[in-house]
Amino acid sequence: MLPTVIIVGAILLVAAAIWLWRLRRMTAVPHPSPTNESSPRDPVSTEFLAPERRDDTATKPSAATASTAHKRSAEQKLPLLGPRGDSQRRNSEKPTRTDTSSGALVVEPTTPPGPVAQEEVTSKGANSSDTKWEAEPAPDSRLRDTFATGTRKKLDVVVHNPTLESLPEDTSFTVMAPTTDPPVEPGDTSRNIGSPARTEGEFPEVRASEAGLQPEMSQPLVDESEACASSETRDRGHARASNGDSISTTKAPNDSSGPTNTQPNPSANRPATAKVTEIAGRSDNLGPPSDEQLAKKKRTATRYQPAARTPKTTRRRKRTAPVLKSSPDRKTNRARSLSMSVHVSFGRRNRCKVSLLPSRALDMPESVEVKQAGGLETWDALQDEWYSNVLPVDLGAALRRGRVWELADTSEDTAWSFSGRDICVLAQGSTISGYVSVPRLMLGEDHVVLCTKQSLEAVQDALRAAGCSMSDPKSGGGIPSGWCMLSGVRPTVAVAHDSEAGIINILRPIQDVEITLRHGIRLSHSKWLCGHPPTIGVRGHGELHVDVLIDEQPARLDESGGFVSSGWDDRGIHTVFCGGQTQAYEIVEGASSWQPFQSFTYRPTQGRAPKHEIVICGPIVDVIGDTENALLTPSTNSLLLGAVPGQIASSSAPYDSLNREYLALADFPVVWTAPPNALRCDKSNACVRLIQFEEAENGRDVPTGTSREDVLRWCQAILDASRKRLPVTPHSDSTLELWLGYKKVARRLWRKLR
Amino acid sequence: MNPNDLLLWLSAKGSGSWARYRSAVDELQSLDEPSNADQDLDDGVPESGSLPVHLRLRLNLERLGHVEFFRDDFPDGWRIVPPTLACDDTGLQAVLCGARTDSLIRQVEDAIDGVSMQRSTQRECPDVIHVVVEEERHMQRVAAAADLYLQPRAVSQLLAAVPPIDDMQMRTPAELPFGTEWDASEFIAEKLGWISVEADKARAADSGLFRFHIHFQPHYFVKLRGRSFRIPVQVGKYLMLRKARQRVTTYDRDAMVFAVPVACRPPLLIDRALTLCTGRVPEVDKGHLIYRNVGNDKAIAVRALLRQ
Repeated sequence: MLPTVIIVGAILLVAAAIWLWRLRRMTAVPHPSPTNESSPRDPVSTEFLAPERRDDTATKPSAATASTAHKRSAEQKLPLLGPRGDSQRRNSEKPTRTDTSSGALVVEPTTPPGPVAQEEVTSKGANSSDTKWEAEPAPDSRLRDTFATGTRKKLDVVVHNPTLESLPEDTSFTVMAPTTDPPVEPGDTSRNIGSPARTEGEFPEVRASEAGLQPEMSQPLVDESEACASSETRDRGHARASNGDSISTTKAPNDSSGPTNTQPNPSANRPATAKVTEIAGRSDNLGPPSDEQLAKKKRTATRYQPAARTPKTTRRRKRTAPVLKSSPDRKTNRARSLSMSVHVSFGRRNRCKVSLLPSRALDMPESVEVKQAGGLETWDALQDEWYSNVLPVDLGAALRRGRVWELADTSEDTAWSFSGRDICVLAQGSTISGYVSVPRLMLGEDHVVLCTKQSLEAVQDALRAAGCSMSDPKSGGGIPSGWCMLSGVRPTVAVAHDSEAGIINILRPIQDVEITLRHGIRLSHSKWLCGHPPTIGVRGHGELHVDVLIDEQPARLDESGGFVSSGWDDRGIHTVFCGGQTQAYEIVEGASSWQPFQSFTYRPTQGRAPKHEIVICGPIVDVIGDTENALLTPSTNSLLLGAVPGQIASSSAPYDSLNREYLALADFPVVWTAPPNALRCDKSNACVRLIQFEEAENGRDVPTGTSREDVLRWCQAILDASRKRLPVTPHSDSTLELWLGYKKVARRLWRKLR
Repeated sequence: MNPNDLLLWLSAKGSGSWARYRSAVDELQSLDEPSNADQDLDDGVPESGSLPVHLRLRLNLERLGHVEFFRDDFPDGWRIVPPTLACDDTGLQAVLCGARTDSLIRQVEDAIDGVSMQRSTQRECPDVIHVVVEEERHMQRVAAAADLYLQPRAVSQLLAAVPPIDDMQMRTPAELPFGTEWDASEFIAEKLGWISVEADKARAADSGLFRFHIHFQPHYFVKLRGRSFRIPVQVGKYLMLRKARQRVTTYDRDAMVFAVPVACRPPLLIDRALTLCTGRVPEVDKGHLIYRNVGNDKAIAVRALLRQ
């Protein structure tokens, strides 16, 4: 009995010692030091308002304060938020509690170096705040002294981030902050983070990759569905304050509507914290994220829930960002992470080809050079949205572990990332043939599922639960090693998602409405040729009835199976709304004027000067140079005559030509062709041929630009043909009359100049 | 697959890269074909000839003078030809070539009284549009009204402008590729086919037409008296046929039908000229390409150019 008590006591002592050690470690977390003035870490992007005021009305800034709160540039703003790694790590270690006065979840500092206040940071909404966020205290020099007093106050946070448009206006979050307000001078905008002059397109997107993370770390650990969903959340996450100033902040996905959970659930609030620290991660001194951070990201993504969407809140804004990006003075060091999709195409004998399909942004060039493990590789644009397929040697491993391709051009921090996974869901692409990876199974649609052999059983179970008809799993024959493929997967039953299920959720179709724009003649991204608009469809709604609005007008199904409304195919931008989804398209005119070009260029083979070149473009045959004229002439008629006396040229047919006609060149508009020596030609075969109808110039003297000898030659050629009585073709009165006029001019000039 | 839509797309874009062309074909094809049919059409199971669908479409678009591919100004792409009325020798009938839009076709229809437009379909080609007028001068008025280029006697002009196959302009001096990774083959005129040869043997040959393959990309070279030239494959074949004194073309004067073996398709511009005689791509019959409505003088010209 006694030894047992001793052992238990020893264990308790050891446990207590460990607990104390850990407590000391926690309290030993580096905290902003008042002496660390030059440290760039952890500045806070907050503006202090009236100190010691706790009521909500006091938290709302005056108009003057609010206006000054937005004058700070992004460059000033971004470093204000601490490094991602440190802040996240510390946040994860801090205990939380619920603020009894407001119900907000706040972070308790474990061992502040001095009395630390909690400051509620309230967005500029009009209503009372329910959503509480947490941010880090900052070692800003103006704040360091305030750590001494330990009071609690409201902060007005202006964080520029286009991710949270749908955030309720009354969202607030709590920030650990110094207790004593630093002296804020009227008009001091040094702590303001936003600039009202910014357009929304100027706001850089906040992504993990932009935060300077390693590409492997920056890529989402969930499939593209969640990435897209997050992207959509970011798109609509740009809020505007009531005074017209833009406010961007971050918000937990599950906080998208209504009051937020005020329970001290760290995981529920972590997304918001993670988002904030993503912004914070934009500072330069970042370390690689820890596994814990990555785990947080994963958990965050799986909890995504779409916000309530209406035609107005989901309306797409005009894309201005790419244009701004391309301007030289907008060059920044922003990191950009682009997605890499899986592409499966079927070939002969149902052999499939699995590859990766890099996405292409609007402002990206036709060809890019990309760094990868094997060296540099060039990707050419396949179409507007895609670069050409990428086929890594170890595709199976790449699918399983993920991979990153970085742009070789180091001036742009751009990378394509593919997150590793065990299951890929693909559906028929709307812009490319074959199957392209999609976020999850869609009801009633035909899919292909790629999965590792280890996860095959779980996949088949999940597909059965979704009422899928499917083929037997196949492997080999173009499928990456270690993987197998299930084709003909068509789910019929919606299955609720479960956060514990992880990646299996992508095999659980939900009532996920998607607006499809197919057919028509698509010129680029979302532009269709006028007169050939897209067929607007909706998929993913199963048998449920859905209301479709086009330009906010109710749409109806036409005989072709597409939704239409009045003016839906007129020129301009149109918006389709259905089931919380919005899709925009534009009807534009294509090119309407085209110019000939030099497609084929040949030198004449009959010995003309090499400067003359014949140009062919489609059926058009022309000669380079404005003064050149090419005409078909019988091989017997090598003498070319113009309308001006003295315009005469001799063009010989190719020596080996068997053709009856050849292409003759002249520097003047040719009116007639005649045999070179009319008096000696065979009258039965020879003729004078009219090329174009033009009266002879009836001058009294030698025309300008011609010589007397040329005029005499011109006259002699006409008179000889006349003396020989060569037939004139085509046989018509007008032709004969024209020929007589030429004879008269020639005879008169011959008599005068002889 | 709707080639009319493809031509509208090409016209609206004006020019582009080969990849964009392929993706457009791919996109239109994926939209218009049932998903199962994709498998047959997509991956080189041709319905006619031995070319995949995007190459067949390219060939037909070039034959009909709608689009030019891979020229000096755009070595990796294509460009649409301006809309042109390619007239026949009478000047009373023309084929509408080049760019095409809905409004342009309406303009042609409404240009003047007395003009008629005959539209006919053909496989894997945009519709053929013939413009027929009662007098020759009406064609000029149609062209002016619809802002079209006019090419009188288009076929004869083309045939007169193209050098014969043995002209130096039809080939470019170039060294044969070196290295061991090339697959080489030689054209045999008697069999009208290719046989594999060792690359070193091809390099050492005094004459012959050789195909060097690498990464599924063929390169054609002709060797004449020990000198090597890069050459279009059709031109090279007819050079070898001439060297072997072998005639492969046939002409039926009464039926006005000109025929060549499928393996000996004429060089592009001659092919275009023969196609524009009717505005329809040649039919394939018993291993021969059949060009119709080819006049005697044109047949003589073609044979002269091909040295047949």
